[in-house]
Amino acid sequence: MNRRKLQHQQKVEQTSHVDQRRQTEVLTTAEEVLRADARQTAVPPAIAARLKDSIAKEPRPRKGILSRLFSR
Amino acid sequence: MAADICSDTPVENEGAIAARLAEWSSPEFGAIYEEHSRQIYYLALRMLSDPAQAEDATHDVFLKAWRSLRDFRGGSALRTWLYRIAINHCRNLIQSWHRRTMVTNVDDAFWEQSSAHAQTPLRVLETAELGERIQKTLDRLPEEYRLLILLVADQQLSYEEIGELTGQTGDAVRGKLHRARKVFASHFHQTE
Repeated sequence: MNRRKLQHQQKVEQTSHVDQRRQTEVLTTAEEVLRADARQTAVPPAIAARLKDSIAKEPRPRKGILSRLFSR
Repeated sequence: MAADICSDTPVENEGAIAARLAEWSSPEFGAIYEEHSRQIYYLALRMLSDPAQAEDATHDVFLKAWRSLRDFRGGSALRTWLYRIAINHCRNLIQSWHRRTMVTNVDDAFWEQSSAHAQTPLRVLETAELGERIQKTLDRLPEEYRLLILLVADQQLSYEEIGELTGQTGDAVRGKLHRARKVFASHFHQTE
């Protein structure tokens, strides 16, 4: 194989290796896998809206005797 | 303590959510939701294997927390307290649905088979399929192992706190975690 061809082949192999590293994340433990998964899992914004509605329907906490007296 | 499991992630709308929460309830509760909702949602998602059910469960957990926040004495960390509510809630749902087939015993033959996989790194393609593979893997674990791994993934929890949540000592958590990792790794490789 001539020198030029060899250099070209080495360049292709290097590029391929870099691409593979970009695509693959090597994790050593189960919890690292879960952390990677958690990082890409977003909380649905709808939960906050529903929670707001639910709390609005909750009975208001009763005022204490002192605060009732002072609010008159 | 180490960083939060999701702290380096840009969170869509999280600031806006917290602001909205602060409008209709106490600012403190908005801050609590902002800080802990991702971990509670993730735990529910992976325990229940269903995004819609996880959404309902997260809502219910924070509503329960809101109702009893004034009774929270600070005997444990707030996050641990929220996790306890979430774990009990999800367990109740799972029991009432009877929809899972739990692996309750792992025999010696399985340990021998799994040991080879357990030593190799877990290679994960950074694609949407990751969540699906993790769910398949977790669904095959005994409930105890699944919960341990999910809790250990939260770097804000110590082994002692995890022990408190799962009714055992911190040392027992360490021991079981070793086995749980092996079983997880073995099942995870099978999803490739």
